[in-house]
Amino acid sequence: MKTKNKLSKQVAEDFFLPDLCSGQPVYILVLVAELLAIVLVLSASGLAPFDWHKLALTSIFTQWVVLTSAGMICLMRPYLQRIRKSWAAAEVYTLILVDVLVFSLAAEWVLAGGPRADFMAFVRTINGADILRNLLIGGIIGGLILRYFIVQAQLRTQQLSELQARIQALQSRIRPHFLFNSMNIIASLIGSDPETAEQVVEDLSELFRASLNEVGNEIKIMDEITLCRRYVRIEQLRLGERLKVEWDVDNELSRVKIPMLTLQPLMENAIYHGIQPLEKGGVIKVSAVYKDGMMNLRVENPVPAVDSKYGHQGSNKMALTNIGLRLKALYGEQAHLKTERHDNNFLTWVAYPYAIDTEA
Amino acid sequence: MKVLVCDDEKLARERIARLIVKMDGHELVGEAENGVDTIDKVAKFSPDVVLLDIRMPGMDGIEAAHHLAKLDSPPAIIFCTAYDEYALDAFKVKAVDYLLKPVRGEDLAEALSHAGRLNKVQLQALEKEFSGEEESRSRTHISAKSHRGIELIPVAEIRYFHADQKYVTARHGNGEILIDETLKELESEFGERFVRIHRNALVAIEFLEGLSIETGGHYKARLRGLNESLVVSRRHVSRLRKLMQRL
Repeated sequence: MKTKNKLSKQVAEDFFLPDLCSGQPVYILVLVAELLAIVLVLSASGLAPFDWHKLALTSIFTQWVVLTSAGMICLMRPYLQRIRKSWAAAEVYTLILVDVLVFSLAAEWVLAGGPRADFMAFVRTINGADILRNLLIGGIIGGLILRYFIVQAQLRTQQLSELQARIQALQSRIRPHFLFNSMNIIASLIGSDPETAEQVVEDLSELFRASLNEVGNEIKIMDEITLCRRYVRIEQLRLGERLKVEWDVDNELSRVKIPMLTLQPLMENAIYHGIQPLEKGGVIKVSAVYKDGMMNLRVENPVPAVDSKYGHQGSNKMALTNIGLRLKALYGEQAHLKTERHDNNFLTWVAYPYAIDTEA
Repeated sequence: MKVLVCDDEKLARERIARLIVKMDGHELVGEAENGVDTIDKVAKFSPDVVLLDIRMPGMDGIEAAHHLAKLDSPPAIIFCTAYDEYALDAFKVKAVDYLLKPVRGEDLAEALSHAGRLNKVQLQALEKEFSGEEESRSRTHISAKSHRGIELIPVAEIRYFHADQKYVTARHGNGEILIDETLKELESEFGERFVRIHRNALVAIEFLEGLSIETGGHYKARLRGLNESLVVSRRHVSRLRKLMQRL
């Protein structure tokens, strides 16, 4: 169940600070600190002559402050994630200021002679203005960086929730056309063939139940295929002989899963943009094959020579893009959705990595 | 009243048929599966009312209504649709008769009792509404009124349109018909299929065979399966040549 609801978890777990226990963010912080040191030295002594000695001292100071702050924030992370965001930000900010203060004092002490010097004499020589300056710089820069992280996190959350909303919209969207057509079928059949009418009601209920399910839910691929068969059964009542479907489903799929309603929209596209506008109809070929850790789905359908008059190309494309995005969100970059058009044939491929063993 | 029902879905036709059979004063005279079939059946049964589904493969309901309007006494039309967020507003605003599927018995009776003919304004509004919905929508057939009723020519069969004074003729595989449309309108509707070769002619790209120079430096276009060739005006020559190289 490792990927179940990965998306919603990602949103919930989102924290405005990058994970400072890992390499890359720390590396970037070190880099920023070094640049800051250069700026400080440049502004104090200019370019010619560049004060290398001062750069060394400033670098040591800023790196100490940055690395120790990062280390402490890393340790505090589990705690910070639990408390309110504004409190977490305030605490991190205070931590940075205290860190600056401690290291400013330590630096003065070292410069005054360290353990060899007389401690009381050192206390008397502490330069208040220097320490205040360090605190101001630390406060301003630290504030800027925090602010940057917060804004960036907001942006990320926004993007994620937009993605989620699109997925939601896609999933809950059973075409209104389909609903009303199905109702019409039921109305027709009630008089002439009540048993088939009953079956349509059952199939329709299954489809709606599925569409109301939680976003990103994985189900057994065989269940998705059953759902698609029910869907096709309803459409076959409507389109009659015009709609034929050939299924080529691997027998070894019992342990493979798929995000619910991944295949069904592809079938829907094939029917609405392929079969329905064709006077003679045609055959949709569906294949589902699991090979070398990849699940491959393929839907092939005929399409009219000129683009369907009622082809909602826009929404169609969006539906496909959304499926692609959802697969990538769940299974990583290897997952993809491709479409191809050869004359009067339309092909849709979906492939995503799926490890059976870990799912057993 | 004599009613013709036109829907590509058999179950939908059956249901309407069942509803009409139960009604007094109305009689189902026939069923049609698509637009072209509808026009045939209208000629055959001369119904008073046509119940016309909008979305059908091949010729759809809107286009069928367009062609039917050319009759001297066209039948009244009631559109049937399952769900059309765009069209419904146009229906309401222009007082076009329509029914929503699944059709209710009393609604059908009500609609049949005062179904009216579509007028030109209503038709144009509908066509506009539907053309706004898709990226490119064009008719599948060109129609002309003939002594037999309405003559339909599939657009795919048309070799060229030629304008002569007031009239435009559409040349097809088996002859030609006079139509009351302008080349400009045709060009904007079928711009992907036909290319302008002269002020007075649009030619089907599909049937273009070659260009030849006549004495005097005039260019003429030859079309597959036709003996006559058409004059190409100077300003269209280079574009036409490029087009033919791509074919």
